[in-house]
Amino acid sequence: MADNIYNRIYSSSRSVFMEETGENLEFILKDKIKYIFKTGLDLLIVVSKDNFYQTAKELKENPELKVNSFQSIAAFKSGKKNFLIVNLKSFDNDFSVLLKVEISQREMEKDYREIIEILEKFYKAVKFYKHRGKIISGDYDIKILSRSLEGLDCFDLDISMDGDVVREAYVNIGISRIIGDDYYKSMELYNLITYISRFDWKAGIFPEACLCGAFEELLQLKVTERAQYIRMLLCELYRISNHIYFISNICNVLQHDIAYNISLLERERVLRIIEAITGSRIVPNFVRIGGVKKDIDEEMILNIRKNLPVLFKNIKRIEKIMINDFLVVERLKNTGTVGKEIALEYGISGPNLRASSVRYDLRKVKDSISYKDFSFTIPIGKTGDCLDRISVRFKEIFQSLRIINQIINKFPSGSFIKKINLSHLEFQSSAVSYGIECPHGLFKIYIEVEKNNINSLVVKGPSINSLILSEEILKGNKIEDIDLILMSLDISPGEIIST
Amino acid sequence: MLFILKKMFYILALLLVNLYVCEYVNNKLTARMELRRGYRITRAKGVGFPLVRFFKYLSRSGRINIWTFFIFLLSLLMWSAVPITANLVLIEMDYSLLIAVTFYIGLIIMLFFNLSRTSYSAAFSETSKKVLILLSFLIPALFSIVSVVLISKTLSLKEIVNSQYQYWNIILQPLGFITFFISLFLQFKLLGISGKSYLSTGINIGKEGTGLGKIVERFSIYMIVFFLIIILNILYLGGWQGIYLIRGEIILAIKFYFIFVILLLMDKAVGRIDSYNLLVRINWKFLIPVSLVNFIVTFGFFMARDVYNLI
Repeated sequence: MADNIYNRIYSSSRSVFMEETGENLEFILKDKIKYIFKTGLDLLIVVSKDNFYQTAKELKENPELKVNSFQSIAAFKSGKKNFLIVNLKSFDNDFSVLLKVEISQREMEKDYREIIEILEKFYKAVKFYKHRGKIISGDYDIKILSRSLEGLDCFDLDISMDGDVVREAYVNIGISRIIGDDYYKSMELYNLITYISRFDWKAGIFPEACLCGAFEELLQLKVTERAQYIRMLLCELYRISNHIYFISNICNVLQHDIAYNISLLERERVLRIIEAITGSRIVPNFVRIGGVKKDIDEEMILNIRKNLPVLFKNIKRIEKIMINDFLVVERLKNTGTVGKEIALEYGISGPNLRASSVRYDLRKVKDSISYKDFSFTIPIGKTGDCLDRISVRFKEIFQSLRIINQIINKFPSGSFIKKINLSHLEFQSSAVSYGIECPHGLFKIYIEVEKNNINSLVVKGPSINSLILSEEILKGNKIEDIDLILMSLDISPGEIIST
Repeated sequence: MLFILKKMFYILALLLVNLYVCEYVNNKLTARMELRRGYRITRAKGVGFPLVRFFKYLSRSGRINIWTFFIFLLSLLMWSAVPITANLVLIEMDYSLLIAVTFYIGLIIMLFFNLSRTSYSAAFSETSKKVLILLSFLIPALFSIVSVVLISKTLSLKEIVNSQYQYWNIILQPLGFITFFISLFLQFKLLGISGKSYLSTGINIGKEGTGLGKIVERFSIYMIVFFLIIILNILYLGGWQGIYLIRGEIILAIKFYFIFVILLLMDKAVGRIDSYNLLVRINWKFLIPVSLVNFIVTFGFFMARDVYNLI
């Protein structure tokens, strides 16, 4: 029985919970929706445009449901029809829904605006998706171009000032959007895996793992234990690399040169381990459907085992240098504070959410990759200011080191890939949404398949939510703190450019 | 007449050589601390690089305004009253300390106006804030200077050095030395010798100036730092007084470079201080009280010894 649960032939407790929630939702929203079914991580609700207002109202205002968090909105084309998909989440009841609305081909823009207007009544963050040409081109005092923010070169910032305090801030990402939904459809599957790791060039393994995970969910394919361990090892290594890079960026803003240099050296150490395993540093192209590309031998494990204590010691040293410096702490404390409710409302995830004292980590919630084998804790902050966001990431690095230590101590034997023939795959007409806890937050993919082609693929990175939030929290701060606050949200430009 | 010209030539030559060496040391040290290789354009470990950089700046077309001229003039005039060694002083007078400090304050104000030249209306509040903050760092420095003046009972820098023949003032005035040094360090950091200048952030991003204007700015910033280090040497560390057989000039050079390198290292070790509130807090809650206590104690001592003849 236990093995069967592990192989996902019978549903686990999590999916039983989701099914129950689905039934409840179906009972509550009976007349308003077309149909509802479970798609991996979320519940997909198909609604007609006329009933959309009532559905959204019910979801928001029903005390049993409490869907209080807006996650994302995306438009996609499936066949000849156009759809809009809205992702909402309830943190109290721990479920998320996808509202799928069909919009007509001819009056696409009008329909889109109507739906955005409806959503804006319930969720603040939606105003980012409105047409804001007039607001942005209106009156602002300072325009910060994308090139002047180091490491965040994907948006312009228009600021109107009140003395030297920010009154309003507008993020303009129009300059950097490059691809549409159609781009994926012409791609072969193995090309797509290579391509998708460019979405997040700070931690390239996560989009790959997410995509492959989604297909495994569709195929109901069980990955071998060794492959899972290798994936987890790489995920944690990339998480460490990303967090150290984040810290080095913060040090660069603070012009704390010593910590900056040491942290870049440590990132180099991690990247070398990754390079030895995958053969590449930034875009690994390593995860495959059913396993991974290469096996790990004893020599690599020995290399990791040698480097772990050095990494621990040096990162501890960086933390000591930064946290013991009262100038740094004075600068970081009480700047860019994100309250718990605001964080939930804007739908940020990952370390940014945890810094605002919400203990939510997909690694603990979901059992797709076997994180349940290891003991680790999820660090949280207290107030959600810049200092908390940094210290949470420091603690996460140590937890990742702890996980890696456990992985290499009980590395299972067996094959590293389950070979399947991708050329003759045939799916039933179905949809799946899959998520993974990447270092910036929750990375999500929604796929619709029919027979042997992908009808639609919607990718949602976590950074866009942090960017929307930054508009809110920049208000009332001084002009010197702008780059520090933006940097402390750990926005990955790759996601914003391509999703 | 010829005598004064000769002295002027000596002082200028000394300043230029120092400038060259300090620019070299500064860039080399920052490169080392940032784990870079340093200069790669010129051979012989980059000895010629400050010269290359000088010509690079010159080749750019830069606008010069009236402030640039004043800055250049003042940063040279500042050295007229400061004795570099016992004989190397242009004008000998009794109030040399007073005149030197006046020139220095004028130079700082000029520099700020120069840096915020582009948009007066928008930058005015910010510029005036910066002027006030940097000038407020003068308050503890002035308190410590007055304490030294009270001890040695003179305003002439030369006599202050001579009065330290037994022991240096740092032994009598440790608190004064600490406040003066920290105020010097914060000014060093605000002026931005290594890395970006603090003064050109915020509204003035990218308006630091190029060409000849940039060279004059950088020259004046170095002059301010040299001036402050020399004053620190004279007031607290015995100036050009020799130790045993070693000549005073060499001792002065050693002290000068020691302090310069220490300042550079501290500059790298301490992060950027952007917030005005923090600067104001450091100043009003630490530097000014400590220097005030030092001043009051010294003043009491002075009154007891010289006015009432109690000690």
